[in-house]
Amino acid sequence: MPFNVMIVDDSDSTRAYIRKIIGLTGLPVDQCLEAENGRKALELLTHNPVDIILTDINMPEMDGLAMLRKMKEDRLAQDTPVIVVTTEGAESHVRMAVELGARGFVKKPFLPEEIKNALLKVIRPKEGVGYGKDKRTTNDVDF
Amino acid sequence: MEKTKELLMMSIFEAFERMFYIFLEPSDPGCNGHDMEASIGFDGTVKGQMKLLLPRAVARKMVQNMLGLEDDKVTVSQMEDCAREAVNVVCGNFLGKVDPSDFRLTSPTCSKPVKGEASVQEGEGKNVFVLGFAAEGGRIGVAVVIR
Repeated sequence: MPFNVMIVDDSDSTRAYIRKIIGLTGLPVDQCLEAENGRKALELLTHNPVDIILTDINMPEMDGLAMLRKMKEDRLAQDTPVIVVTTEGAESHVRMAVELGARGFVKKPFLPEEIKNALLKVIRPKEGVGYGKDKRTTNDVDF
Repeated sequence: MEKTKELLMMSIFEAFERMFYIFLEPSDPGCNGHDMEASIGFDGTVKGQMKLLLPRAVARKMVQNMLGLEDDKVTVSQMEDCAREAVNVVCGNFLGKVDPSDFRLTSPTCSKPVKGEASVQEGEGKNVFVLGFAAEGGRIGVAVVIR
């Protein structure tokens, strides 16, 4: 079953690069939404069904951690797995992202297969969409 | 000091090879001919600033390689965006190697370099690193000031 993915990054080139990688993975993607910061992503989330979110952390207006916090507070897209794709790999940020619900972590600079592997880990094999809510720890996230 | 320089070089090579498919060779840092200066600040256990200086031809190649575009399809806006993303990725990668416990990055900026070369001076910070690299399309410069 095709899924909808949302890429949140303030770099147009990086969003285009990730979109291109996703296209090359052969994974069944229906819609690929894009947002340049957390605020725009939240707006899109309220109007569009999204199955997987890939987000950067360091963005103007609303960063990725603030977006995750807001999603948690507002119970917005709570079942949607979030993969953090960022250069800000500080341990404190990774811990915070996991506490706020992130399901995967890809550090920039990444290889295309790292994005693919992170996507495959959060796609439920038979249903083609993300995991539901469950308990998770930092041990469940790839650093 | 040498260890930090080694980590910086490793971060630069990794970022350019993995994201932009550009292979660099260490070169003389005091070169001119840069058209773009991307800059980012960092804070945390280590504080300072990083600058990346690029000739337009290298920035163009970065966009082409990353997005698979033909030469005439590359825009100035894309080149500036790639320059900002490059300094962001190099800096984050470098800080992750120096001290991964806690660091924050500012939003990267891109402008025309004032002097055409890495504009940092000894004495601006505790440690200053200025490195040069040769790439297809020209030479790039990277300057880091750790305060």
